[in-house]
Amino acid sequence: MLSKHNLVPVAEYVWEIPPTFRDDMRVPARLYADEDLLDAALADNSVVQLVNTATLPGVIKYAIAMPDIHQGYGFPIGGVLATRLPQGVISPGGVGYDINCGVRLIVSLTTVEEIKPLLDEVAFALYANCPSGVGSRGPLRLSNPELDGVLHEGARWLLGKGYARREDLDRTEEFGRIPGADATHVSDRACERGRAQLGTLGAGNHFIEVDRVAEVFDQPVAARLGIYSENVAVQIHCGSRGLGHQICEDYVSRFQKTVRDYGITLPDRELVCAPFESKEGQEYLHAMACAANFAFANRQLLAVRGESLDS
Amino acid sequence: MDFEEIEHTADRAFRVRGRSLPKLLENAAYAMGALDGLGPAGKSSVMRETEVEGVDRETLLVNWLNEILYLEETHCEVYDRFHILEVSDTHLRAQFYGCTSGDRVTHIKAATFHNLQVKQTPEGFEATVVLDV
Repeated sequence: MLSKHNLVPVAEYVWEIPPTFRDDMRVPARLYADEDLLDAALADNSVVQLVNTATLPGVIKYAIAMPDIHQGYGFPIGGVLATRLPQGVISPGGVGYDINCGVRLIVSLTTVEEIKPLLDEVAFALYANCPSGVGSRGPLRLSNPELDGVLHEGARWLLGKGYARREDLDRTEEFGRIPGADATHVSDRACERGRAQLGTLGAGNHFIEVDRVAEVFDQPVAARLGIYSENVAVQIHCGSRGLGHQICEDYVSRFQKTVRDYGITLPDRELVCAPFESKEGQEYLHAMACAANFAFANRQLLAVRGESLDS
Repeated sequence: MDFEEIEHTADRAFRVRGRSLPKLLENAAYAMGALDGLGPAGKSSVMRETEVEGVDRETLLVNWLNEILYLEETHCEVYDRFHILEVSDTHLRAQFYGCTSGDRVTHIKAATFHNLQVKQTPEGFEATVVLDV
């Protein structure tokens, strides 16, 4: 049973559970939170989950949780972990089901006053142009070679097809593509789920939000980003949809046997993993990169369809 | 009732029982459907049969539930009757019945392995499943 007295304050807003707390911990568990956030974290299973991640082979220094910590499926949400090569592990459950879930911010020269009379139209147009829901289908029907292109090239695949500009990629993390993707390690089932879902929002905590820039804290930086007070901005939160989900399911299921093969014991089956440089670990890494690239392309396509409303 | 929902911070979870392993698996499918809230949409017009494998009972249970979700998503169907035809600790064959989902959309993305254990009890079997929504 874990309680507040097990946490040692090591600095302002930094709490630590020493590895002596449990025999299988390899490093301390460290949590960044004020007292209120700490109490909230202790109210669910998330701090226990953080301790569980401190047991992973090859973990370096600390198992860390950010202030948004709350209960996840193996890792806590807000958990951060690094493992040392070559025997440190990679964990599909740790990366999560929504591989490369992220946020795209679109800034606009439209002011709040200009858009106010049009909000209903904007809302209807967003619903129409940006499909949502778990199995929702997007505007493109990708052939196998086209899907392969998305998985390997990410948002760059949309260049020259009317769905991306060079300046979009210049402002995207990793310029819209991470290396190392290999679609031969992505199952047919994952491809089937993803093929019709490019350009869709998904469900759960995904959203498209039309925002008012209420306050600017750093004028020079905001100006360089094109953000001005009382202007409109749009945030798009989504990821790799059914394709990323299936990749995680496939490898979490497959690694239930892999951990036995490598003699790895874990306190939670959702933490299943493989040594990073093993055949299994590398195959997951290549598949994970495919999902990450799909997510970059997905947010780019949603952004383009959302941007069209600005005109 | 053979299942009940368990409180969870951000997702959905349930505890399910069955007097046998086939019954546990069937009841888990009913539990997932109940949490989804889609319910039967009318007379069953679809029957599907599938086989699922796993390295142990826990993997079999998760793979079974995810198989149902996958088929519902890709065929735009909702299933509300389940019958396990054959089962071992690592394999099952099942039939299930339902209808097209129409505009109805599931909120459940996957069954997870988090805190999952299929336990034998004096009454049969029991498991707790966390669903990603």
